[in-house]
Amino acid sequence: MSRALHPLALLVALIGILARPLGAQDSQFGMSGLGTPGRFESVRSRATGGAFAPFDALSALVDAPLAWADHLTISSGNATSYRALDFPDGRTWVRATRFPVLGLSGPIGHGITVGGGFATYLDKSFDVSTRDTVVIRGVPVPVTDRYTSDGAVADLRVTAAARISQKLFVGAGVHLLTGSARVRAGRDFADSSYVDTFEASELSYDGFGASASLVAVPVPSLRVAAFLRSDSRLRARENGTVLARNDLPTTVGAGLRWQPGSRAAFAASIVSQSWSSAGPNAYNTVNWSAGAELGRGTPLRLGVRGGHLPFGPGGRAPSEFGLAGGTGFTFSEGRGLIDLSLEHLSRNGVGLRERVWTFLVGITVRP
Amino acid sequence: MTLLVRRLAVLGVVAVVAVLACTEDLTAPGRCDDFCPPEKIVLHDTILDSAITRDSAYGRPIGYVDPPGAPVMLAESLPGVRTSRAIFRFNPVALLRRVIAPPDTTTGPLLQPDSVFVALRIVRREAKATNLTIHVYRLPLTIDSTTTFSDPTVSDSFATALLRSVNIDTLLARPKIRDSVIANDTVHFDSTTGDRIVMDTVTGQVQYRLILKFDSLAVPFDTTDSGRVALGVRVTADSFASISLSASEQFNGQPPSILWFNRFDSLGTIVSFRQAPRSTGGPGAFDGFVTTPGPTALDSNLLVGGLPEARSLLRLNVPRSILDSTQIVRATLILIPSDSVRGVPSDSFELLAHAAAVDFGAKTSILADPTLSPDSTIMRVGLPDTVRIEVTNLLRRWQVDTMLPRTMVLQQGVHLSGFLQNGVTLAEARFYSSRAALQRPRLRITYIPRITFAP
Repeated sequence: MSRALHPLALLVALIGILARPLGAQDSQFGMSGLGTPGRFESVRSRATGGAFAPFDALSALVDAPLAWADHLTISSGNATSYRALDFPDGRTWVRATRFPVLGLSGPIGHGITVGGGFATYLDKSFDVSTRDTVVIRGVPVPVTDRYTSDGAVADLRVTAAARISQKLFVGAGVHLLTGSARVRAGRDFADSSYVDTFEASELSYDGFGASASLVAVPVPSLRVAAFLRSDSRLRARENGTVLARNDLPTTVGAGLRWQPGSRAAFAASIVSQSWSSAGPNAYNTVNWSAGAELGRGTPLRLGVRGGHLPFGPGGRAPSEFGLAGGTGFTFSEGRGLIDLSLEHLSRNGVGLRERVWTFLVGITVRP
Repeated sequence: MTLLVRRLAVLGVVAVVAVLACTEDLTAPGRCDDFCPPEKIVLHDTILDSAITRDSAYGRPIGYVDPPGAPVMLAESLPGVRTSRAIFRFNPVALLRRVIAPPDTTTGPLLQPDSVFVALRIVRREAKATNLTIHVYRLPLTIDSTTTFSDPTVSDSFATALLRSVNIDTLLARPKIRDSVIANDTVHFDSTTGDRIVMDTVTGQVQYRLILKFDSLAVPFDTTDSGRVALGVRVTADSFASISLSASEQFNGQPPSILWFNRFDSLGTIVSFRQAPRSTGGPGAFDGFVTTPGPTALDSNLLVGGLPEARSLLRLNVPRSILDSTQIVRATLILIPSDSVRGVPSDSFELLAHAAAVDFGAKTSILADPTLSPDSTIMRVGLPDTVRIEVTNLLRRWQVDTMLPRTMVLQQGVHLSGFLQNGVTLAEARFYSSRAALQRPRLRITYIPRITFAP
């Protein structure tokens, strides 16, 4: 490893230590359902709106691109988001930092590459405070309720990809869904005659999934990806007692990548997920994205995305639209990569608009 | 930009992001029901009519604190209500003889004093009392804890052996002087009698230190009794004559003391000799008070306070569904007085509800836990209203310590010299017990049932 890689490796470790693991870009809409689904996208893919994710070996969305990873690769991402919640009667800013994706992959010979890592499947973190006045013993008493949840469901994956021919790559993976959330509900009374109280617990989650994908290269400048993933169910437990079982979606998606020259690449993707069986306030979603990567060395990445969130109140799936941009830097003859991305998301649902600014940093090391 | 600068810039950005990774603020206002979690905090409020059972009062005729062991001596003259008089005896003087002319070790007797000072600390007084007058009597040395108000020797002494009457209001109206000999303080001084008084607010309460000057005719130096003296105090006023004198049992108190200024014949030269002050604490000393009428006997009701001090025990039978599985946010003990609170009209005290460490009936010990202050409410004399004590802390303690007996001890407490003490006042409260079906004690509980978190 060259001398320049030492601080990079240190920063990978630093971010891993400091950041709260297994989180994602959360949303108030997720409280209506199982949570806020994570994005299985690397920072460089996020910079293109997710359009390049089906062709990105660092992303966890599709397994087949691992086949062209010719080195041992370690990558991680860190996201800091500022989210404005626009209710009809006011705006609130919240801030969160997440560590949404980490991956490790490398070739094992015979054209086969294996990989693993984790990504956020469902983010379950929120902190809600409400004020009200309740009548107790015939007297109105102002109270402040606070509900918090801190945790997520992570997707731990083991995948393998193989080069079938020069024009066809396939991949498959198994996914263990696991995680927990520390939940707390408390009430503070303005009247000191009443004792402020809270109750806390820890919920654990588990589930299982499998995925398969292929990438075809009909002509050298064009790549086409198709992928399928099926997740079983999410089981929630409290102190060993099963509280609920919720069906998880089947995911179907496709992507197209066109590279007309060495300094420009364009991609688009579409993903459909059958979340409507996951419970009340859940909807099937279709999300699309399109993006471009321009230049070499320090490229400019741009992207746009749209679609819906799977959970939301009011009988209608919240819509989402986003713009993203970013770049990347290469160090030590390509052994170290730092990707930067800035993303703006706009979400609209019944009773709430969210505006999210997210700054992402991805670090990749190829020792 | 050189390669090095570029690398440093990028690493700097990454480092800043890494630091920002430590921060988070997810708190947002909830808009229920759409943007709140489905679990709800629900309050229940219920009155448990029969939760209190097997309640009893203890403390008569032998109280938890009896007058001889009380931290104060009560002197009251409340016509038609009661009369109390403080009685106390000082312990022997340190010296009855002294070396006449050192180094010769021959000793000679101390002579009669030219002055004697008796100090009393008034720790409580009825604020409405005007013309409050303290009368000091000489009592026989035979007074002890068995002495009663009607004891002939004592009652005769109070009828005939008056030593001094001091009007507190008049003395407080005297000009102030600096007394560096007796009080070592700035005092209101009566130059005619030599009496002095100091008002003291150090403990947060208005207290008075009264110092009375006597001569040897009033308080003779009796060497046959080792210089012991017994005195009694009676109090009068236009109305509500009531004071409490600090006794030797008072924590952080100042019991009565006597200071002898003896004379001594030193080879024909009469010199003064200041004895070390004597108090009403220690061997040979005594302090207490006598009162009439005597304490009322226990009946089927609950009794708290008075002297001898009475306490009441309440055994609670709170449903396990509440005690084991809910968050109790407020619990109120409701007591209905069977009689208005008895005592000096403007007096008050705290009614304390303690957790019992073990339940041995009258021998029940109170849980001593500095982290668990007793629940309490203020009781005012003469008010017949229903009494409500917040016992939330106590019930929540029961929730976390299942080994504690579900027994509550009702006790009287009075703040005295910065400390909550019991056995300080004759005021007492009576409540209906569980044997009175309609007026029995009740427990009102507000609680939050266990929350089922949404997955």
